Amino acid sequence: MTATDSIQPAPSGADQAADLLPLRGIRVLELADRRGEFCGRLLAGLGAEVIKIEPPGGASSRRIGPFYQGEPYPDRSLFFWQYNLGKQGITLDLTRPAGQDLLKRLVASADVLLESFRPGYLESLGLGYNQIGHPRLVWLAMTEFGQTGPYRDWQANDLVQLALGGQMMVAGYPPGENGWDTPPIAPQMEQSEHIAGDQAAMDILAALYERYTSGLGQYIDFSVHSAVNACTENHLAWYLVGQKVASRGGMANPPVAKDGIPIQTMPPLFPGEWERTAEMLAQDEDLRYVLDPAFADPVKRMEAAQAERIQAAYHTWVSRRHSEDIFREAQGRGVVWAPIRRPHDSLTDEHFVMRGNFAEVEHPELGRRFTYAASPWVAPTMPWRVGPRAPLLGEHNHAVYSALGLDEAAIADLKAQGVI
Amino acid sequence: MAKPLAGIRILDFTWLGAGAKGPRHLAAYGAEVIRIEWKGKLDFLRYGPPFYRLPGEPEPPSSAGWDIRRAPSLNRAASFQNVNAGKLGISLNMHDPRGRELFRRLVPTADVVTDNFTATTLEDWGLGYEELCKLRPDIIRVQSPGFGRLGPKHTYRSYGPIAAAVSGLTHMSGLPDRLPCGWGFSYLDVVAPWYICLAVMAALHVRKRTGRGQYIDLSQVGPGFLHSGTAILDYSAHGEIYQRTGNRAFGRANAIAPHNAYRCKGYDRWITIACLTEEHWAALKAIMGHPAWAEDERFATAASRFAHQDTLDAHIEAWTRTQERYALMHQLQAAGIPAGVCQDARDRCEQDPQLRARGFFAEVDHSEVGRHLVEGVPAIWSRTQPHPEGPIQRGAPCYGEDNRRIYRDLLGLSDAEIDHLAAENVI
Repeated sequence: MTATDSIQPAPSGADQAADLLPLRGIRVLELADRRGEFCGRLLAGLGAEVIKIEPPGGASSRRIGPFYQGEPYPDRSLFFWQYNLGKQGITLDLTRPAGQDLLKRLVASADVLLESFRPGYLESLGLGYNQIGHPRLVWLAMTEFGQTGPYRDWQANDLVQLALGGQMMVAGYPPGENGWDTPPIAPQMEQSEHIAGDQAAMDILAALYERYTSGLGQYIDFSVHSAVNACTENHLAWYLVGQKVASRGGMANPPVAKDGIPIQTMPPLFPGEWERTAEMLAQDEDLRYVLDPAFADPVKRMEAAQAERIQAAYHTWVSRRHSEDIFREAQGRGVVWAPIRRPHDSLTDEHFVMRGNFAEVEHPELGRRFTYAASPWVAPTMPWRVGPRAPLLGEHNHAVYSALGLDEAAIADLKAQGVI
Repeated sequence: MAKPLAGIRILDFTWLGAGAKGPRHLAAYGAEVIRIEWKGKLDFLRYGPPFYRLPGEPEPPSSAGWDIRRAPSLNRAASFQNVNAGKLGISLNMHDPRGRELFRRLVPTADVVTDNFTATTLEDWGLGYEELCKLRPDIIRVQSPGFGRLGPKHTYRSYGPIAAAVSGLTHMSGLPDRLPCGWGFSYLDVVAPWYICLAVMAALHVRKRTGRGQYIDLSQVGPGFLHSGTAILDYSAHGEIYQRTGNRAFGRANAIAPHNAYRCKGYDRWITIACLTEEHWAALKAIMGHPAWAEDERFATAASRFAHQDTLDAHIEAWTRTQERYALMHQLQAAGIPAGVCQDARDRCEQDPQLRARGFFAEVDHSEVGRHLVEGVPAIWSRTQPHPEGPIQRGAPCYGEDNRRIYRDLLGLSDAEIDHLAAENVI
């Protein structure tokens, strides 16, 4: 770990010993592009030593923007920064015998190998699990559709995964008078990568835990397509059991606050919730009709005429107030509403700042710090490791290869040959 | 072969959508999860439609709302069966001091206590972390109230859509010129359980090495920030405020086009196509039959196609409208082009041969309903395959199904004592 590491400070100031990092002492080799990087980022946050192995020209994700100040250089990609926070980086050409030899030596020292090559590629180079794995190694192969099955060799990206996974057909706007005039909508920002990365990290933690008992690793054939299909709440169960097909447009038309921010409301689910909502709305003289006993019956509330009048009351009440005031007022009254914030809006919310959800990470070569999403939870004696910033291209070649026993001359020679 | 979390016992208060699936994942990895419920405040997933129906039974009445009076039984709800597969189930009245005492007797036998009640619920029952540590010093305690325990908003309440709204994820979903449409389901109700699972396993790793337990306070919103891609970093570095792009590629990342959902033959039928490389574009042109419009210089490079997406998409859709969506997907994939039908739940269950080939739909047994399918796991393991049936090789518990197994076999109460406690509304 370099001087630019920062361990997420525990809010209660409790023990910050690195020994309490969950994956302390675990070495992960990451041979992954955008498909596997989020998983690796989580493992780094959990304290593993994650060594990202890139081709000498750099991982393809270094060419994904946005770029810092618009400069499209390999060390300026915010996408690469976000998904590779906390990792070390080395370069290696796997197509060269000398590179393959180095990989085998690195694998021998590793606990986890995380890779996202298409099925068969590593085997074709003599670098598959059955060829270079060792008994204690947990090898997670993340592919779009898995190593088997009719779609095994198919191409995908985030949009295609969210289409096949069911997320798109349930997200969007209600139909117009003449039917569906807007398409199904893919929620944005690489969600299939997050959905897959979360579940892959779970599998790796479980396999490593199992290793304490058995002393053995194993091969995990992980399909992004399956992982994404496990992410539509209970829609599959609804169909399997009731032939009910969830559709889109249900969450559209939110009320909009005075400052232009829409408000997420909730239908009252528990006894008392409607009464508290009505009392809040009735602060406005012209909306006191919501206190009418006709609205008290949950079944009657869903009838078209009543539902429309309730929506009208929501819209009117909300339009008169600022979104954050609405948040405070509603929640203070036990009404479960919230503003539909932009991602950056919570950066100034004391609650999330206090919880360590964000952290500043130093980028020394730029002389600046940037804010990253950090710890997902608060754990006073189990810190989440934040940083260092994502590796510069080849940044840890010297450290990692000299630890393997290569001297300066050997490393320089490999570089000259383009092996690293 | 022993599963990864064999021998780990979890006392599980998680309920509804948001929390309960977390321990379900842990059960799939082999943990013994004891779901604790009370009829006085029942998990509404137990009485929400649709319901399993046994052969010969009449159709249950369709319900206008989630009305417990219309549920055929507490053990037929599809959502509950899916979310809680693999768990044991006991009934326990934590509002009764005798109930709390029974729980206190369970704690020393357990490794983990989980809940997603409002933030101070267990503390109010005299079962805060310090108290639990007295019962078992190395207890792992994970709570997941909507906004977490630490912080001024810990009194705020949340459901999945509320957490998504606060995290920024709702804002990120929709067309650029309209209000956000959000997700079509409660995304953070699926995500937060993964983080409950990660938190428990992370703590198990620390305990293995150090012998120490852990207290983890997880809000539903926290993981949402991690899922917002480059939005926060882009704001920090450039002051850039995230702008929705609908189905189009996020231009600040890459100018990629075609990249959209296109209408196919039939009513509300769509396919997604993403030409990530010039080779993909060339292959698409060939499949479209080399139409003259495609040779326009506006479509010669990715950057130019991106700038002229309105025209490009209109041309492409004029063609896809004449195509059947699945046939088109197969044709495009055969040519190496990323393409995927926009599948609904029916499609995924009936027309996705890949899910079936991968064993995605897992079969479990259930005491009242019999064998049925639930969502499986996303990976195929070479040795210790997780499975939703968990260590008990069963689906979700019927209400109080395992009372004897826990109160009699584990705690040593007699049948008579158990009957008495039930009559007293303690269990």
